[in-house]
Amino acid sequence: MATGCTWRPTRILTAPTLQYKHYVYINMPPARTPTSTLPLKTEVLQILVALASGPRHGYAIMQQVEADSAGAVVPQAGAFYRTIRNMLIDDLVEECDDPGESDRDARARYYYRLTRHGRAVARSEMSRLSQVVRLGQSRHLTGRLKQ
Amino acid sequence: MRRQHLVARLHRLSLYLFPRAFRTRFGDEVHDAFTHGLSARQTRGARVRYLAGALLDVPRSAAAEWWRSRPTWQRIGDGLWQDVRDGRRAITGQAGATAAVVVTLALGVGANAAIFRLADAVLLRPLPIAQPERVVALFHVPAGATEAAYYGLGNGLSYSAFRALESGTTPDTPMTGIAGFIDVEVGLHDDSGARQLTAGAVSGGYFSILGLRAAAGRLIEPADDVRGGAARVAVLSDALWARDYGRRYNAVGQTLTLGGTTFTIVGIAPRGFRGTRLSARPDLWVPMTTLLDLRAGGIWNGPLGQRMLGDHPLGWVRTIGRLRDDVTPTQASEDLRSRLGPPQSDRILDARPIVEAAALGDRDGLLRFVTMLWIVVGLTLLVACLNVANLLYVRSSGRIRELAMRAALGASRGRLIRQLLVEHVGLAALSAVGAAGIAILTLRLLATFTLPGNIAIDELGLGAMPDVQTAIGVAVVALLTALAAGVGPAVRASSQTSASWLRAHGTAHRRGPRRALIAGQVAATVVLLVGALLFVRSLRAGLQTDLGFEPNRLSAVSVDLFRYGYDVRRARAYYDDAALRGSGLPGVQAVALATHVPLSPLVLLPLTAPDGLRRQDDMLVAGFSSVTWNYFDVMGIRMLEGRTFQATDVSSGSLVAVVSESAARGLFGSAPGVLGREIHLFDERRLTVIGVVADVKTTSVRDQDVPMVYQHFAQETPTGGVSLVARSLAPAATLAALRQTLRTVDATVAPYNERLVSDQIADALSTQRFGSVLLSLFAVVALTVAAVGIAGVVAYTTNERAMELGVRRALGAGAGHLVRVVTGSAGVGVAAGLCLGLAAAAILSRTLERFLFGVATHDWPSYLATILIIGAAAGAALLTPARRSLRTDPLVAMRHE
Repeated sequence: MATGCTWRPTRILTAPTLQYKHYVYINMPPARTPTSTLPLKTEVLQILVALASGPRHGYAIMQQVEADSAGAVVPQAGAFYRTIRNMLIDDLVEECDDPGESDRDARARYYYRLTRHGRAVARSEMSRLSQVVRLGQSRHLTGRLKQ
Repeated sequence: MRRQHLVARLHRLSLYLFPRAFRTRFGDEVHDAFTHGLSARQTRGARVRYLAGALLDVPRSAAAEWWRSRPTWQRIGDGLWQDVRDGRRAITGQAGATAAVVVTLALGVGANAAIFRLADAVLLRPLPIAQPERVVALFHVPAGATEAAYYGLGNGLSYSAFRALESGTTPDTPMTGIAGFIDVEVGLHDDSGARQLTAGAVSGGYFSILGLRAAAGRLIEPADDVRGGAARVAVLSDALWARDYGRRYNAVGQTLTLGGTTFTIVGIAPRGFRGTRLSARPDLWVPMTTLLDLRAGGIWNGPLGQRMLGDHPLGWVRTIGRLRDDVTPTQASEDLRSRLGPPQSDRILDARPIVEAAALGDRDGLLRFVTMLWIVVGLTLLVACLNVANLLYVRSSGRIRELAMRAALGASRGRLIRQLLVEHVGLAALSAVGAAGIAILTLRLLATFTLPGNIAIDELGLGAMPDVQTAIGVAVVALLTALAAGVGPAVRASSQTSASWLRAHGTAHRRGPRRALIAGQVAATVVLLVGALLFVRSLRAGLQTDLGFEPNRLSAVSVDLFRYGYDVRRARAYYDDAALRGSGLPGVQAVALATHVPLSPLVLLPLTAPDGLRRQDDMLVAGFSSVTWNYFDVMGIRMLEGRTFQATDVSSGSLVAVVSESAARGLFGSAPGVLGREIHLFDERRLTVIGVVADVKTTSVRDQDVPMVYQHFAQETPTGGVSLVARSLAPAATLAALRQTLRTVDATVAPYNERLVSDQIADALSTQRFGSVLLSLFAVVALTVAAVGIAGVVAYTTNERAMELGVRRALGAGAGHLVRVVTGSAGVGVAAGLCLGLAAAAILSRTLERFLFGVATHDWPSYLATILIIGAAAGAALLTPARRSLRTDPLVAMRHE
């Protein structure tokens, strides 16, 4: 475990969030594999990609998503945080402390980073997508992929 | 900048749209992201687009979040199942308390359901006919006649007047149709012998005016009811069809023998229809023109019967009519009256709604009686509810510890209330099952009684089982009662947080509500007890009343020879033979013959005394009985003046009569000096008075001196039913011997109505008996329930205050002091309830006035007895648990705490 990161439940085990934990337990799939949740929703995939380079706080993720899509996708805060919450529940991302390098904001913020599972899911999704892309290319469905 | 500040605050406010759980965790982040995003937009257009997006985003996300956080069925099921298990544990864990609650509720609700069923059948929908509000009963009575005149034979139209009106009635007249009927007793002969049935002789339009359709075959039609060519057809009631034919459809077309004449069954009346009067419920119907074929006895036999179906002025045809939609009853009856010629038009034709007329003369009494029943069961239910509330209150108080523990472990208040509600629904379900059983038992009990107006509850067709509506009603009432009794305590118990329990567990005494509950129970019980005692004393007074004759050791049996094809000569020989053989039986002192024996239904007929007070237009309505010379001796009726009948009267040629004292007074003004004077019967026969006898209770012990005229049995042999009445040492044995003797005289004649006259006193007091049994039953239930409740409260108080009592005891308090401490609060409740109840009883007992006989509603012994009974019961209920508590060692009690 990287320094500064704690296991998720200890962080969110405060009274109002008790039900998330409860929910996780009763909905936890018995055998969780990286491919069992594929295909991913677009916004989930975008967040996973945005977090691939390291932990970020919420607004930074939104900025990254916007930048990654060259401004085509503008995440809205409410919907974005609902997605984050779902990803927390699905154990794709986890909360961690301020890594102390990227942001000088004095306010305490939640930082998010990929979990081991999240990274595996992202990899599976990428290989699934690249397979689709390759298939499409081999059947001349698209132009050549830009490098 | 200021504008941005305002937008930020609005956004912050809008976050309250989100569920709290989401808001507290992510609210700040959402808001930060929003404000950062907004300040990052450089151009005005970008900011507007951004705001527009946010405007959509917040409500949409909030709605999605709410939808996601909705309770899933799985979660509801989880909690509910848990509650059900907890509830079951709570119910079975306190078996005694549960049983008390369930039994109490079941008794209260079940009895109420049965009474509701009765009220429904008698008052709310007594007649299963089409549009009953447009059907009226017509009474042809003198203007300003009292309710009594609406009874008896003379209140209808004469046969000729009825037929005249009937033929003049078309769908265009204010009355779209009229029909007549009369209910008579007939003998039905079949393989098993003879039976008495009630037959309705109806005019052809009867069933169509009521809007009835046959359950099988057809009903009686105008073509059946033609003078001369009358069809001897019969329509069976559903009850008779079920009883004799097992509801087989091949009954239609079969024949039956009524009064010696063969009738063909042409159809079955719809289920539930038993005529339009509650006190006479026909088993079958025949056309009115076949009335004489029935040989119903009384005025229907012989030449008089012929005249009755001719031009005789006696108004015996009970008439009903259906109103045209746009007329009032008064308009229609005025129209009919204008078509009657004098002297018929001198009287009014009073049109009463058929439903009201169905229980005419009795409706008011019925209403009061059923109201009384309802008050009785309502009070019992009230006691039951109060007691259940009390028990549940005490029970939930004992569970505060458990509830506080649950609250401490994180159960919400709603969850606790829900658990208690589930528990009470369980109690209600158990109670509803019990209530259904109680309702069935109560209906069986009710079926053995008679309502005022001689309406046998058995014949109302209530059935052994409550119907669907009643069953649903029972379930709802049980549920509401249990919830009403349970919600208050549930809320109270759940509001005791763990903190308050920890601060003061078990020492918070709120005695007010419990005291009020006790007072309410005691008050209701007092009312019931007073009512029950009034009825019991009334029954006693009825049984001890002076009947005017000596009822003990009298046995009677009836025969109706004319149904077996007898003529007057053969009948006379039969009667002589029967009387002779009867008086020769061992133990029999004497046998008399009479057409009416007291305490049985009586035919009332009008008569005049031209040289006395009564002229043609002011007739005296009197009861008639043909009796043998020794009748007064056998019955023990006192002879006041003159003599009884003699054999020489027959040969003398003039008709003679013995009149009762009240008849003499009514006819001539005074009893002395009436001997030798003449009275005229309604059929113009003239009788000379030869004697005066004391008044007797003719139909029931409640009679107020009904005038009686006794005719000489030997002078004019009766053509209807005749009773043999025997005075003997062993009346029960005599009754059997008498039946046997009559069989030896003529084996084909079936005796009927065998009875001990003394038994009929009880029958005549059926209403009093009904009231006594029912009120006593409910009073005992209420008393028991209230006593158990009081004892329970005291026992609980004792436990609750064990430590305090221990301290008091240790400080030297005596036993008396401790008992006072424990019972003081409940005792005050009892005393308050007693005062309240006595006041309420004084008011409510007025509704009983009509049913009480020989007892005033403010009968002080009843009230005194009530006070004593309540005092004794409450004393026992208060002291038993209190005394037990004194045996506990104070040290043990204190250590326990």
